[in-house]
Amino acid sequence: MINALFHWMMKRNFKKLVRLQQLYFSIYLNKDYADQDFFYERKLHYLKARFVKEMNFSRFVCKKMRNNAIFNDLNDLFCVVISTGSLRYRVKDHATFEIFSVEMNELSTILAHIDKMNELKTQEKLHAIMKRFDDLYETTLQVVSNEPLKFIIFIDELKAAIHLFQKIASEI
Amino acid sequence: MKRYFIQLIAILISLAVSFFFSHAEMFLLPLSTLIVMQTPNGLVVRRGLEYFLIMVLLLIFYTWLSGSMAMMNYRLYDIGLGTLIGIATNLFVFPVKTDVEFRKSLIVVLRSYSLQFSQMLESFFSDKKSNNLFEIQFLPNWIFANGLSLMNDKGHRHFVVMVERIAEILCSTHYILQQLDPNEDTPKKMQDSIMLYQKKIITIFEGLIQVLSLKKLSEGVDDASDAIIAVHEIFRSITPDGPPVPLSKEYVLLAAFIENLTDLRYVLIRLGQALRGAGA
Repeated sequence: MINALFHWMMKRNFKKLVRLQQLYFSIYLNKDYADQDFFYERKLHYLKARFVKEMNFSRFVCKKMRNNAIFNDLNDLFCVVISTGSLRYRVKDHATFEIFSVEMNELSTILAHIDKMNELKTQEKLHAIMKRFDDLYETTLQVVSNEPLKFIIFIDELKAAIHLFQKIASEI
Repeated sequence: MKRYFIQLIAILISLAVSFFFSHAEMFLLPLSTLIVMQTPNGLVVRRGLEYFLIMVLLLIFYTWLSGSMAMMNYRLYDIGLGTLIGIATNLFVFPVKTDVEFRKSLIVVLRSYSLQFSQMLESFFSDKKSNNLFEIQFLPNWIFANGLSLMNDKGHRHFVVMVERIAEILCSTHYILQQLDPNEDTPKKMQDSIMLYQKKIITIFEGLIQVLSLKKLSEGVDDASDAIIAVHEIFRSITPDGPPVPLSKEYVLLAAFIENLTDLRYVLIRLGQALRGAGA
């Protein structure tokens, strides 16, 4: 009974992190963030606060469980997903994000169904998209952007997030 | 606790009023009082009236289903009276001052961020991995509620966004420090300058808390510019010919860590400027 409840809660929290990641992508893709930052920040706040609240509740359940690896992974994923959002205030020129628009849209779509998709196929697709991120950095961003290091950090964090998304999706 | 006490007072008043003036079910008046009192800070009247409208609509729907109009007026009267008692109690019995609550919430979260930041760095450099799970505190939800008059002010909105950003920076830093090895050469070389930076950042946090507590700002609050420049210089001196090719994982993590430290200082300085601008 507790096991089932715990897994159900972990799934809910996982979905919240997927939505959080998608929201960060949508901030990068929508040009109105600079004018409507509070509108987006409010959405982000509610998602983050709800996740933390539910994780705190899950912690009680977790104490009864022997294996809380998923719980720790979700906590890590929360921190990594939040890290991927830092580009919104680090990069001044929002137009630079358009270079990644196709990739971000595709990632967003895959993440929406990551827990239902064939593991191998998803892995291949995600790997291909991340490869395209690397290529875009090498061919375009390094030249176009004034702050290429910030994009390297972003891509690295995104890779860590995708890895954890895949890992947790295969466990829950 | 205070909130429950106010609700108890309101329930007692509504029970007394219900005893003398109610013509419908005994519970309807206290129940509507209790419902309209469940409002976030700063939205007592607006949310209370919204709940009143919802209750009226539900009553109309119930009357339509039951097909009897007999008690409709009495029930409507009870709901109206209950709403009046609920809103009035919220407004006049130990009223919550939104701006004071706002400041209190900011102080609580800034204190927790300051403590978390110093603990994070100290446990990293002492190489003691904490078994405690990372817990971050966010601002209370009512600050973000739609229609809160406080948030019509651009300055307040900016302040809130900046405070939320600190939470994000701490989350990110926590993850990075988990991945970094403190015994590697580079983090060791940077330890002194980072610890100096940490001390200065804590004094900025304390300065902000002092101003928000309406106390006089103590002398000697440094803006930590020298400290962050020193951190950047040491990082640059590690790879004087630019970033290594191909980039190592450690290099990217360190770069991300330093970006976070830079962002944190920037956000805190902006908060200080905002407070000075507001004349707090």
